[in-house]
Amino acid sequence: MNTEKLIKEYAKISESAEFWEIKSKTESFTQQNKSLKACSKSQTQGISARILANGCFGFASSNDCSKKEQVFKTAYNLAKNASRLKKEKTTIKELKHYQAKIKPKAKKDPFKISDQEKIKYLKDFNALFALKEIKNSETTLSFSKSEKTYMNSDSANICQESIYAQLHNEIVSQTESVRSIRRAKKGYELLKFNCADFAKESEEKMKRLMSSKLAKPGKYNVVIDPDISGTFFHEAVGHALEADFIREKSTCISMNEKASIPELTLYDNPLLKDYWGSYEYDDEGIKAKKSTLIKNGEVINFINDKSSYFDVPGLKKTANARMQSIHDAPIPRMSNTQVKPGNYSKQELIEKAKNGLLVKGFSGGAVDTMTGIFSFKADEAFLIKNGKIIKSFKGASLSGDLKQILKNITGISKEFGNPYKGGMCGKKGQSVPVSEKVPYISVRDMNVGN
Amino acid sequence: MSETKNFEWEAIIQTIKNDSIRIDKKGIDTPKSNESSAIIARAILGNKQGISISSDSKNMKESLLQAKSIAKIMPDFEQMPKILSTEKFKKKTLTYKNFTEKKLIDSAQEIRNIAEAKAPLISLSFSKIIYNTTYINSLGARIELKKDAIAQSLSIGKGDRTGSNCSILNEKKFSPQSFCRHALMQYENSKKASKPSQGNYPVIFCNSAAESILSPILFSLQADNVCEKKSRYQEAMQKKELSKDLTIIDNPHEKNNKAYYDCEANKAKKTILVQNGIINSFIHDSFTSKKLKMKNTHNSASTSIKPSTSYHCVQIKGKDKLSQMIKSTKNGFIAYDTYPEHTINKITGAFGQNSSTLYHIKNGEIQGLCKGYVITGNSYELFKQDLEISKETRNDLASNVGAIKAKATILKN
Repeated sequence: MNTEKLIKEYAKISESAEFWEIKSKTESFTQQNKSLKACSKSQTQGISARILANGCFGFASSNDCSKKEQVFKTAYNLAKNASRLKKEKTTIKELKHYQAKIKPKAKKDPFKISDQEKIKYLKDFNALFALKEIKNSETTLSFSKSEKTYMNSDSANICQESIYAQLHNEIVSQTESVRSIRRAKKGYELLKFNCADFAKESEEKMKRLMSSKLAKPGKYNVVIDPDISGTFFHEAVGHALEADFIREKSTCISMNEKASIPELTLYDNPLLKDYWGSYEYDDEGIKAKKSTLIKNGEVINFINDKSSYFDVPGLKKTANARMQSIHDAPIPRMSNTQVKPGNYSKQELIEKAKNGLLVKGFSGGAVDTMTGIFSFKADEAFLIKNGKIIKSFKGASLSGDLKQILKNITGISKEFGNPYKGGMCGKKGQSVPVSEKVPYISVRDMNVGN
Repeated sequence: MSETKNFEWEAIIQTIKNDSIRIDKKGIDTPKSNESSAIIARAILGNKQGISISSDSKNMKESLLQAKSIAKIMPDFEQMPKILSTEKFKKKTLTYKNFTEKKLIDSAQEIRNIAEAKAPLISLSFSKIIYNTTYINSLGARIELKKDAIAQSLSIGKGDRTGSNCSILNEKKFSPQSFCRHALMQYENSKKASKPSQGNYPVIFCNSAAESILSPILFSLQADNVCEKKSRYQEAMQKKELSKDLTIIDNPHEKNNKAYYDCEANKAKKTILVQNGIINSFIHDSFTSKKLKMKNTHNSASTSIKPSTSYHCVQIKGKDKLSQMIKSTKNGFIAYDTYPEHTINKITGAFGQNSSTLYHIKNGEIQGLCKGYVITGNSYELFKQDLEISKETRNDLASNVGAIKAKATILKN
């Protein structure tokens, strides 16, 4: 039976039927010091179906694309059996659906470039790291290409093709490591940039880290670079604004709450050109749009997927349903977190802080959305004395209560960070590409550890 | 497949069936049933090798062809190890055969009822996983392993008062009561909040908190990281780098976590990595053992990059009773879990971790939950101290690690 027929069949005995098919390929090349360490290529394909029956969703998937009938049947049985545990049944709200075919915007398809050319690029790039203290330099070049099809019983039929490229380097000395990344939803053209400057920046950072000591723990006025403020707005604020957490009562932020200063406006924007977290349609076929979540300090919406939009009253629909793979049901996820620029320059923020720290480079962190407690690791910190940077430190951990920090913001810069960054964000066992377009921010009385 | 001289190959074919449900306060989240499959094929052409991965487990020929084409562009390995295994082995360990989809939902409901009788439910995830792995190679070796497991995670409470537990089991006796007990105990302990001042304290790291702070040490004991000069223990073989109280064993023969072979079809064996603080061995596969001229510990991992190693089951057991470790703490902390590993730098060992289950201990008694504290320190330094390690270990498939008591810095937000 073909897919349309199966969708129609199951729509007759359920409230809704949905189908996904994904075909993707990835390749990566790793250069370690002077030799090619690894090259790997992979192909993935698979199908999945989700059925809403008796007010409860059921989801099934397989890597075997010939098992369409089985995945529909399993999803339907799961929904029916589990519906007895569902206290409040899900009721469908009407949504606009589309038919569209989206081609990738990449100028140069990396899968059409020869392996030899990629290997030569990698070899030349890795050779740029020549600092004598470096024990190991490893650069990985990777590309992925995917074709995602989504169909549902409301006639949606979206086929999206995407290409991603990334370059990752790590240099290691006796005691320190420096990681740098360049990634975007672009093709091979991502690699056309000033590689020498990129390498120089990493080496300068390594030199600073090797000669610096740890910052003294305590409370500081802190100027945060876009790498970390991006992660702060994504991890601490963005996750707390995901609608499934309202349903699960595990977010510390509520609708209409005055959460921050009036200068703060926060968006989720999947339409930023080339950004790592961008897309045209979300994984439930909803057309992507820029959604305002905090307007002048007040929470006005939560990002949502269908399930949370149906279950939580008072939400405006956003296009944020995303799945990591064919085996994962979509959940509300951020795309690119964006903050409206402020009136200060970076330099003015440093001068305004007077005595404090400028923290740069994100190297990890996590947040508990229920309590709002977060902890981030910065690669570097710089001591600000009388409005001037006088000394560097290696590493610093920033921690606090997000609600307090949002109220302690003292300034937002006009400048944004590098657009070719972004990361993989994990939630409920799923990891998806996300990015940020955020400025420098200054915060008073932030807890800094080492 | 053997048209080229010096062509050898090996492949791992894996299928996983995972049925899972997640329950929260509002009822059930989307139940799922996944059937995933993969082939990891490795081709060796003389001194070159290529690895390819595909989700189409039926198409071995194409996977090998791709692996072979990758091998052609790779440089020569200085010391390419030969494929040696001719083992034939088949083992099926299905503990939860009768655990049907309906029983899965019923068991989740049972856990929910036990938990909700004493505390509000935040979330409960429950899944049954069947792993089916087959190794084959050009010498005719064939290892077929089939096993199942149950994974569960429970979180209860409200606001500042919470309790949680998670585990992966393949024990015959599955007990919802004992699974809930740990989370309920934490919930009870969180009744009164405690606000001690920041400073250096003895901290008892339990469960995932112990595994997190241990991760840099384990990273440095992997021979692939030694080869890449990322390991802290590069030149430390037979040297005392860690506490005399610390012995780390990789043990594939643990009752609840039997591993039979590694990913090169070598029989899994017990390796003492650290004995009373002295570095005794790294974990190796055939590549690293050849390169570093050390014994192969049979810890090859199936990844897209060779060499790569992985632990079968890390075992750290002490002589102390956890209850005694708590009793002997005059003024300190106990952390049952910490947020994910990525707040730890495995190369430098620096960590700064939050914990939603950090409790203050005063005069040998757990006082209450400490909200808004960060545990900071350096793993490489922390494990040099005198340690107390508990007899009791976390009941998990991936590791068997006791609670570890050491001094660390506690910072207040």
